[in-house]
Amino acid sequence: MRSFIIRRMFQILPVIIAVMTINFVLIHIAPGDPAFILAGPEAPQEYLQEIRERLGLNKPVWEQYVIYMGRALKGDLGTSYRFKQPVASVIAAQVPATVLLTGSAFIVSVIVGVGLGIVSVQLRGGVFDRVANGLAVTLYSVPTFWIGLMLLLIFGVRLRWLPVQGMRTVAAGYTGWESTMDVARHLLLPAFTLAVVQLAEYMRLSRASMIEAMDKLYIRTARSKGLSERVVFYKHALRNALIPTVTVIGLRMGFLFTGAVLIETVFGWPGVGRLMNNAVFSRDYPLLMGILFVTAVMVCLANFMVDLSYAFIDPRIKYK
Amino acid sequence: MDKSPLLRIWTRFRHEKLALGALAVMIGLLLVAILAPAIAPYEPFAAHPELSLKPPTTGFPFGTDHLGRDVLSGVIWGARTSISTSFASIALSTLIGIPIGAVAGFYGGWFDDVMMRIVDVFLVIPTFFIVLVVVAIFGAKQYLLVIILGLTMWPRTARLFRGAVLSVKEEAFVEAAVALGSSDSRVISRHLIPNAIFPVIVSLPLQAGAVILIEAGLGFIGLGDPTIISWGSMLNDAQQMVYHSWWMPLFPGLAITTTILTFNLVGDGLNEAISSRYQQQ
Repeated sequence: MRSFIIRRMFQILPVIIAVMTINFVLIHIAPGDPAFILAGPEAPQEYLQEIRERLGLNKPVWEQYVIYMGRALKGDLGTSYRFKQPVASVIAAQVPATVLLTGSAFIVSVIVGVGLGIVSVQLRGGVFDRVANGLAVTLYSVPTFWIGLMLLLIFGVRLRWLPVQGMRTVAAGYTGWESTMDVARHLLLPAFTLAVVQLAEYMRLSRASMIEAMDKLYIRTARSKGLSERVVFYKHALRNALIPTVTVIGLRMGFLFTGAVLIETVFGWPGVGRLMNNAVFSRDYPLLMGILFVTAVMVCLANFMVDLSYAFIDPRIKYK
Repeated sequence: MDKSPLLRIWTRFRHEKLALGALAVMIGLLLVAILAPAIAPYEPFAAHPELSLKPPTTGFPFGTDHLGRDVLSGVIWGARTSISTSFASIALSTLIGIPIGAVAGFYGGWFDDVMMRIVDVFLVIPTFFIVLVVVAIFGAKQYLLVIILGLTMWPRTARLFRGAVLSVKEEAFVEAAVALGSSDSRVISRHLIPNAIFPVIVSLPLQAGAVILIEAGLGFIGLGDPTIISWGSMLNDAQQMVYHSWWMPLFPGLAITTTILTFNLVGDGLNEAISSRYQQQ
């Protein structure tokens, strides 16, 4: 298991190198002096000089590349010129909020989505199955941010049931339990929005793989052994159906983060997405590139955890 | 390629009622996109400050925005933007992905290894983020968006096509062509590509939907090409006006959803029609 984890960590390396290479290429093919791009339009002459020296911008391109990659691998992603702080720490400050949002949306969507998929297989062909399936196909086609915008319009602006911006009620000064509940109320709309789109996908998927599993010979064997339909369904079909479902859940991680960025913009959620939005408009390129990097790494880590979960679902899979 | 496989697919597709309906809507959307200048009641950018934020009425069935622009005309022109962006970038990514997938699948070896590692990396990095960073640096221009989408979406096509080539390669008719002394390029272009293309065809509508989603997302965060109207940029405006208007967010969003839903349903229908074609063989 441990050697698997170590080996899997090394597979993240190509992604890191690729993203940093993309960033490096972008800085160099962008119109204008790379030092300007990295330092911002109002940077004083001394700072430009410092950046040129630090990144070796007077040296040949391949040497610049080596310097750039070396710094990146040490976790140095440059300095944000809006915040005047290292990019890595600016982003790190926002990661918890994003993880809270995506994590809660993820858990809800997997449980509810797979649950609905199972129920609709049991009621296959019935009204519930057809309605749920139709809804899932539709939801799968709706832009997350638009659902967010409409929910904000309905529950925040019209009905005024829920707070619509931010993560906390700033002036209230809540502490302890109250503060937790305050965050939870703020979390409800953005997390629901993000969950509902993913949920549709997971439902469709678990339904399809359940139906496929139910046609397999081992199900016939289980039935002919005289096992109850319950055991056949939950123990024999479900466990096998979960494998393809989990694979796709892993592949959808990128969409989850993309959705989160746009949702954070809609609801003013103080996470990486909103930071990215700010970086775009303040033309804070080091920060922007750092965010591209961090999201890619986060998607890799999430995929990695999905891989680990295979072993829990399928005892045949043992990582060596 | 002879006509009969396509004809057989069409015969099956025709029986998928939902997909057929979706195809009709898709053709309708294409017509709207092509005929936008003729059918939009107003100039999409024409501001009428005295008519700002009018709820839907007879003259403006979708209402007007904060600058008094007709939302219906914006939605009609937005179809043109979304559909042209998605078709152009899908065309580009297919043109890149097919040859790479063909060569990787046919020859294997180091080229295959290198390409598939690149594909893996691209599948992990969310396309939206790469596109966003590029657009933020180089400016929001439609042609740039098309190029960068084409350059980031090809790995999916390449991988899909490579897989199909790998299985077609084993077929007897390919062996026969090789045995008859056909050149590699002839085997690839005459035998592999026509027979392995179906999974790629199925994926095209789904990819088009994905591109429309990305394009709308960019517009929504304010990175749409400012010289053209798009559904995403309309939603960006709508977000600022969310306290004053429900029609500004509603109609462009419905347009995006309808378009993507249509494309997905056509894709599902094609998938059914083509996989039953394989099953029959």
